[in-house]
Amino acid sequence: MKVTGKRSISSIIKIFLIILFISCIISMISAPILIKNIQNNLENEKSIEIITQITFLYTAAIPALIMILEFEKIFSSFEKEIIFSRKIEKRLKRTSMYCLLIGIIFSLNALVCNFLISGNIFETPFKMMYLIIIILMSMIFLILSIGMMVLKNIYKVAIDNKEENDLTI
Amino acid sequence: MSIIVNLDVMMAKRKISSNELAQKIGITTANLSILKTNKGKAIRFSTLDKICEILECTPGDILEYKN
Repeated sequence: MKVTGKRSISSIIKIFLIILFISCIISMISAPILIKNIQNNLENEKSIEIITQITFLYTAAIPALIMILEFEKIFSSFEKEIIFSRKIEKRLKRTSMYCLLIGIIFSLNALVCNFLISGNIFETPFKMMYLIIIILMSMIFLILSIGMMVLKNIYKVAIDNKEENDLTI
Repeated sequence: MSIIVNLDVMMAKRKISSNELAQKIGITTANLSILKTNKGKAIRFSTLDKICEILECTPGDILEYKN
């Protein structure tokens, strides 16, 4: 199966990203209903903890959604067989910034929610596991940010070489 | 860039059109235009060889350096 062009892997990934984007929007809209149900069954302290956690997740969701859109546009370009383009280079740079932002938000989440608000993180195994997951997620996004920046620089070199080759008569 | 391509001068001297020259060299008129208007980044020796053969000149007649 071909990687670029019509009816290629890029087309499939593009469709998947659109479905993912729509699913995320639906989740974000339906989350407040779930939160309300949880709040009714919990004590005030735990309720504040959960609301703070969810606020951080919502804040991280915004750059994540924009990132999904950027990837969708990148794969749209691949579908049109436009592989080496300055626009893709700029999109990779923006994606790197969004990953960095998400990594910072998750780090703050780990710090604020798990240490400042909840206090004893060893209270339940669930809390410890949740903290580990949040820390891992922040590290993954920070590393992904660096990876995207490296990819952007490689793309820049490739585009410069291609332009020089195109203008070699 | 300080390298100037005087292709149009040689083409006028030999009374050859862009289309005819491009066809004889084996490049597109668009690429020939890029060369003539100094927008090219590099020229292959094989292309330069063909240009000199068709226009009966030397590379110095086509390429000039101006600081």
